[in-house]
Amino acid sequence: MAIIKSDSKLSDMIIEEPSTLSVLNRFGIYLGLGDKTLSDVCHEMQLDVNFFATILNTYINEDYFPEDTLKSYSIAKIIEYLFKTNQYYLHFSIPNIERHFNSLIQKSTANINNLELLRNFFEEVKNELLARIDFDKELFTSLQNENRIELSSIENEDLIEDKLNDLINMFIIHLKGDYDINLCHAVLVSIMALRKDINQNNRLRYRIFFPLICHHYN
Amino acid sequence: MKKINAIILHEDSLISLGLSKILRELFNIEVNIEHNLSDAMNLDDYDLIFVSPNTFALCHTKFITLKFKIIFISNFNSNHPQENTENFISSQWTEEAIINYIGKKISSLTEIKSSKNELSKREIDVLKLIVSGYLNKQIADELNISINTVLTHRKNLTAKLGIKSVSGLSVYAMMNGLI
Repeated sequence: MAIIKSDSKLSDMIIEEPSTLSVLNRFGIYLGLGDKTLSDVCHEMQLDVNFFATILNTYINEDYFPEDTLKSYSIAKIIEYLFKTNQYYLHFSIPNIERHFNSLIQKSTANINNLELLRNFFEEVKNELLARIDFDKELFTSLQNENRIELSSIENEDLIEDKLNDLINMFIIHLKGDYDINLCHAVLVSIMALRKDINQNNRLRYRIFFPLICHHYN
Repeated sequence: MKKINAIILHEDSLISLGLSKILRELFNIEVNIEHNLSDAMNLDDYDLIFVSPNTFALCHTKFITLKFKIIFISNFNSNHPQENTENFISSQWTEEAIINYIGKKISSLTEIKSSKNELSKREIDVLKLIVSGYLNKQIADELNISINTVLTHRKNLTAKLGIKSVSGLSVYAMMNGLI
C-alpha cells in the first residue's frame, strides 16, 4: 500500500491495511478516529509523528526498511517502542493464542493427542519468547540507567522465528484427523499474526537496535 | 518454493514496467529490468528472459545457449497467441491472453522445479536420530555415512516437511508415529 505520511488519514490506513491495528493498539490509540490524520493523533497523544510514520511504514511493507532514518532516532525512542511491542505480546498475542488453543482442544474429541503435541510445541515457543522479553527488560533497564552492559550477551540468532514457522507449517501441511475447523483456523490465524509481528519487529531489533547499542558503547 | 527469476531487456520503459508488474504481482516472480544488455550481465542466472527483437539482434551471440528461456516481446497485431508461437508475447494481446500465456510458461517451469515431498527411508532414519538427540557426527557414525550426507539429508528433510527446528521435527515424528 501507499506510504503513510503525516497527513494520511488513519481511518483510510486501517481500512486498507487492517494489520496496522496491532501497532495502533500498542500506542494506545482507540478507534472512532473520524477524519483524524496521523499528525492530529500524534499531537493528541504526544507522539513523534516522524518516528510513528516510519514504524507504521516498515510494519506494513516488508520491502521498506529505511535503515539510516531509523538509526537517526534515539535509543530511548526505540526502547520505548520495543517495550510496548513486548507488552503487546505478553498481554494480547500470547493469551489470545492460548485462549483459542484451549477451546480447540476442549471442543475436539478424536484428535486430541496431535493437538496437544502442537500446544506443547507452542508452550515451548512461548517460553522462549517470555525469556527473550525478560532479557529485553533487563537490557532496557541497564540502558536507561546508563549501566555498563555486557555486549556479548546480546544473542544474534533467533530460533523463535524458525519455531513459529515450523508450528504454522505443522498445522497447514501435516495436521491429521478431526478437529473443530473454526477454532483451528482461529489458532492458526492468531499464530500467523504473531509471526508477522515478530518478523517485522526482529528487523528493528537486530538491524537497528543492537547495532545502535554496540555503537553507543564503543 | 524457490522464486522464479526473470529479466526484461527492452528499450521501452512502459512495456517493461507493465510486464514486470504482471510478473511480480500475479506470478510472484523476481524481476530485473534493463534497457540495454551490457557485457557484464550474466543471463544464465535467470529462469526466463524477456527480450525485445532489437536487443536480441544487437547481441544475439549472448543468447545462443539460452534458447529455451527466451521470450520475445513483439508488437505484432494479432489478437490471440498462436499455437506455433511458443516463444513470443505481443504487447498487442489482451490482458487475459498475456496472463494466460505467462501462466502456461510458469507451470512448465515449476513442473521441472518441484519434486515429491515423501520422505525416503534414509531420511526417516536420519529424522529418528535427530529427534533422539543425536548430533550430526553421531548420526554419520551410526548410519555409516559422511557428515556431508547427513547435512544433505537434513536439508532435504527441512525442504520436504517445511520444518526446521529439532523440536518441530520431534513433534512431526510423534504425530506420525515414528518415535
